[in-house]
Amino acid sequence: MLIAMILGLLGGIVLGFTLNISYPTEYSFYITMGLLAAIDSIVGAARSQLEGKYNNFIFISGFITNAILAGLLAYLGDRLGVPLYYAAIFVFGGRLFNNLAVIRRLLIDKYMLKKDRDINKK
Amino acid sequence: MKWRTIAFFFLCMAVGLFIVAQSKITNGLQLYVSAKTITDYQTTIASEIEDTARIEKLVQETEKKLTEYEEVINDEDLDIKDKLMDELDYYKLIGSKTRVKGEGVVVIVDDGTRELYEGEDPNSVLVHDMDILTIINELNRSGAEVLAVNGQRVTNTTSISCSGYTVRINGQFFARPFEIRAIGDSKRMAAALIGPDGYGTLLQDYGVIFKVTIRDEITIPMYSEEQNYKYTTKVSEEE
Repeated sequence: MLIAMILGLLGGIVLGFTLNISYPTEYSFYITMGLLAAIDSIVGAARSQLEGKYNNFIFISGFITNAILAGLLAYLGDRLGVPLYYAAIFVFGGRLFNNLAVIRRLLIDKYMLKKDRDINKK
Repeated sequence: MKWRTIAFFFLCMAVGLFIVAQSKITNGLQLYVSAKTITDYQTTIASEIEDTARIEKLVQETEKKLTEYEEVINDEDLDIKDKLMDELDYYKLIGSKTRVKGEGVVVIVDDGTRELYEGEDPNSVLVHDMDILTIINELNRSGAEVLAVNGQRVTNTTSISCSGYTVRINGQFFARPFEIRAIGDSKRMAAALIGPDGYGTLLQDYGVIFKVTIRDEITIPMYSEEQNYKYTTKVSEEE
């Protein structure tokens, strides 16, 4: 699981450097929004994985709807002249930290449990 | 387990890919600009585009002129210098930038010296800015080509206004007497002024001194001030 994530990230970075993708600067907003949605989805999935209630369908659909909504907000903000994409940034950013905190706690709990067991064994 | 690993792999790959792509494109530059900045830039861009179009038109016109000159150069009979000098002379003439001479009239207007009637307004025997303006208008109507008042060339931007006991012409103050010189058909101009219905006759009736002399050759000085066109630009024929 973790290995797949790291491999994917490394592969993506290598691909980004070799492929030399370029797109108009106007779209970088939307790309950033999609990026944020993807990171949020991954961290959220990692959390649910640790909690043991991961669902493939929820993961994929959550990523797609989040990305679409973020893109729509950015577009609408562009049209209205109001930076609406802030909403997406705040929500995704806030949730990122939330999920990270939960993951950290779960991992620490696991570690503590293991330690306790090790002590009990001796 | 298999599906989720694949999904994670691809999503992470997309994240890495786009992080790299984005950082490559933005190069660390600020991307998030406010709406006001965007509108400002749009205005600037629009005006720049207009400017470029204007300059391109200018280039076209200049090229057209250049081909004309080239034709003259290639023509053995004509000399390019002569053509250029002719053009320069013409522009100087119509731009009031050279002394000119020719047949014309000299009009002298002065305040009246007659005794006033009892209770009469002394204004009726004084020369006013309106008198000079009307005379100039009459002269133009009867075919004057170049005009000057007290040595001040009347250009297309000349203003003549009242300033107490003096008259302001081209921003300079002049007191009586006023000498108006006009180059053109002298007989026609003189007749228009001193004919039965002429403005000169009217002034003379009021008691203002008004004299018209026909001369074979009068000279009119150039307009020495700078002529600036700050707000006016040329409109090309295509527009």
